[in-house]
Amino acid sequence: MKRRTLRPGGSWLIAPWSRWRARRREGTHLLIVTVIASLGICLASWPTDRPWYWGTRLGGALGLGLLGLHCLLCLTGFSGDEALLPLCGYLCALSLIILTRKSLPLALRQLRWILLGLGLIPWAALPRRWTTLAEYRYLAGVVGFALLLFTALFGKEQGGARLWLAVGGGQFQPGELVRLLLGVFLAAIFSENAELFAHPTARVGPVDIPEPRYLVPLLIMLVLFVFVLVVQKDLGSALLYYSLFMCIGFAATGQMGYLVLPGILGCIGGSLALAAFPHVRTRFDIWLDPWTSALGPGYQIVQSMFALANGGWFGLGLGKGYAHLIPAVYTDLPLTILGEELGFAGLLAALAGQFLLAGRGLAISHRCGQEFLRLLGISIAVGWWISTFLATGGMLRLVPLTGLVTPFVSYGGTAMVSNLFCLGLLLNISRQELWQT
Amino acid sequence: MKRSRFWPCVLGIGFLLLVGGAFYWQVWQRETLAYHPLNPHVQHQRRVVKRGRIWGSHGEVIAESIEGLHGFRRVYLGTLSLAPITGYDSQRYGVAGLEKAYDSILMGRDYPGRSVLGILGQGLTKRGVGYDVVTTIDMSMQRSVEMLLEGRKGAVIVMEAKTGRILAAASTPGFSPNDIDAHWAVISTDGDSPLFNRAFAGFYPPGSTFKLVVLAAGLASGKVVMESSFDDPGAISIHGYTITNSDGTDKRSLSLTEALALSSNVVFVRLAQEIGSDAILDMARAFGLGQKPPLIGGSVGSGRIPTDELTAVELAQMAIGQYNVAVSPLQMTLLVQALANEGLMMRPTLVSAVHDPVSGKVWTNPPEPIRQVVKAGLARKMREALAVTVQRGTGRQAALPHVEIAGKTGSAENPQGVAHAWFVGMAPTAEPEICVTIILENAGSGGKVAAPLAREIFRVYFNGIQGAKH
Repeated sequence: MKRRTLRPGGSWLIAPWSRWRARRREGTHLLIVTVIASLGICLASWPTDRPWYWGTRLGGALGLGLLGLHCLLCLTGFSGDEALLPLCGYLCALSLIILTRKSLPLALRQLRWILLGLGLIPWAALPRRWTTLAEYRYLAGVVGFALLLFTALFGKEQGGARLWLAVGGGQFQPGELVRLLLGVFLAAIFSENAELFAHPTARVGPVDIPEPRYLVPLLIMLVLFVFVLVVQKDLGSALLYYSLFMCIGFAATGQMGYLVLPGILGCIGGSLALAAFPHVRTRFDIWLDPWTSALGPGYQIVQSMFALANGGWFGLGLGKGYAHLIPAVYTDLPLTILGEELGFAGLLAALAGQFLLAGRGLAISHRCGQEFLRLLGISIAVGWWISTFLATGGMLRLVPLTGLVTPFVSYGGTAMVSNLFCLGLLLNISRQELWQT
Repeated sequence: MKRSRFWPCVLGIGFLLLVGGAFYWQVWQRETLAYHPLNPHVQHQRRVVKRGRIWGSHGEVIAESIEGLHGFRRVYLGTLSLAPITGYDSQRYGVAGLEKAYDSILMGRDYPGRSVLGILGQGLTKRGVGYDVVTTIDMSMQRSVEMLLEGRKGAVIVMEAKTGRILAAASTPGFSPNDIDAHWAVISTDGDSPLFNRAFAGFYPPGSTFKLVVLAAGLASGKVVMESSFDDPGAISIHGYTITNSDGTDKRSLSLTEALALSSNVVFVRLAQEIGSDAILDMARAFGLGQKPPLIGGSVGSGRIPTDELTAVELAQMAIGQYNVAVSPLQMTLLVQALANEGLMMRPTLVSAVHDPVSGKVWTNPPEPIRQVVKAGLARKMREALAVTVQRGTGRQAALPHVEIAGKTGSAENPQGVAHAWFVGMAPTAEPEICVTIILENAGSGGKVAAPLAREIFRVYFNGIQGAKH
């Protein structure tokens, strides 16, 4: 395949036709996303008293942001993936449709965060040596841990878990940032010492393990992370970070041991946590039987199940459901609203979007020739998929409800901005210059 | 190693699990959750939406919603025996019967037509009024049937022969669906199961009425004709198992017409042996036994016919309707309807139209043929034999002086005690207008109990028609 690179010099403002042509599929799909967003918000406003024109305003703003970014990528001759941006735009559109159901100010705030995140994408995506991030691996680990500890000690408690830090007038959720920092840390450690981690040199009982000198700091870090999270009652993030470790270990070494051993240890740890922490126990009991506490702690999940059942195959129609009355539905269970108003078909469409985005991210990462970036990309894509699975699985009672956010769909500024930044990183990783030869 | 199948598998399995979960809650478990008493959506809808009315065929209101202090409330003006068919609409116990089958239309949630524009328009607007449902039930006929039943346990269906429209459907004992929440404890625990819709979902051994299937199979096979004669020694022994005629013995040779009229067990066992079980079961399936009738407007059961290889004894028992066959009154009605309509079975219809009280638009369910079960000539011959049954045979008590009635009785032995009394019939024989099916649970002989009831129902129908003409 012919490599397209940014040619230095010359006027890049008047781009040759070939640059626009090269990304025409992205452009087309972004237009479709704009239409979906505008139409969806219009339709969702129709049965309520809200004027319909907010649909074109919100959808148009989202479309302008996405298409503006698309133009920038075209003009700079960017050679990265064309599917990521439309997929992410599609999920953002769903998010805006869902939020319009609750209140317009909420949707407008979310739109602001989306546009801010889109503004970060060129910085992350355009050619830049992100490999230097690997040099700050220990800094990333320490800062991540400090953030967690700081939140656990001084954070604001909201909805039973202490996840928020007040900064200035606003508040932000460090957990999302920590996920990225942890990804950097793990990717750097594993890419640096892949050989060492792949070939065991020591023995503990019946199990061969890699050189303890390299393994032990990693394990200490992991245990500290997870412990802080469990104490802080953020089980979803604990599970997410733990499985990220397993997945990156496996991706770097290709050894099943990194999945099996931590898997077994995780089960033991989970049972211990179940016995030791009452709040873990409560979550677990609600998962097994929400009906006994249907008017108490199980209220949220029971109501969500009702809403899903009301949806049926094709839903009640946008704007006609009652799921928006469920507490914390915008952050915890946004897809419930989609499931009620657009039914099984709508839920399937949203899940397909998440599935394709994560799958695309993984494919891109595997194509990358640079080991650190490859692992970083995997940590981002797998992280998205795990949070989608845990959040949606919690809604569908496949797993206990964890309070994780659904990437790009849940309401939340920190999550949206950091996820869009991650998308930028993935776009960067997908550049043809980095392809494996 | 690095490009292994591992990651696609992790993603794919996760995706399938999520989709499976969504399917489970949204489609599989929908019924239980959507009508769950704690579901606030349902309660809210029931209070704020004016649910559509259910009409009788002549404009009588069977059910309507009336606004009260706490939103809308359902009021029923039908009869007790119709309640198991139309069902109920309860805040606490959900919906049943016709109320359930047409719930989404009565609530104005679904668009009754097929036009894409209409469906889209429905999706965009919020309706506060449901659609009205017009049934085929003739309330005066329904009341007469209920009166004639005199509180006996059982079911009656009266169907128009040419169209498959159900003019009356009674299941007794019935109940009053008004304020069902208050009376639920009594109604739902009653030993006579008043909530149970015997007419569409009650299954009984067919007894001698099954001989119609055997006879049709025999005639269709071409091995016998109506005039073929069979010896009837009064009893027949198969591998040591003896089947006798129910009315004692009569040692002479009978034609098939006479055998049907006298309901000779021996002759029909012989006929079954001659044509074999496959022909009989094929004919039973053609008549729709063992399958759910494609009824518009209610939930039906499929019943049962034997599926595996039959022994000689089992075949003999099946020939007289006493082995592993269970049929609903609705299925038997369709069987005689096919015979009455020159062999063409029509789709059973309880709902003739849906009406939009806001725009005045009407969507109708025109009569719809299902399939040609037997040839027209065969159906006519069987009708003639059935007329003989009413004139001179077991169905004598069903005869009326001015209308020729054709019908068959049955007395189905069952483990619950005295036989169930069956009568299936139609009138007039030459050009049937209506079909009637009667089952009276544990009431005794069909000829003595069900046939007189059939006569009175025919009398009401034909006198009513004559009265209208004058």
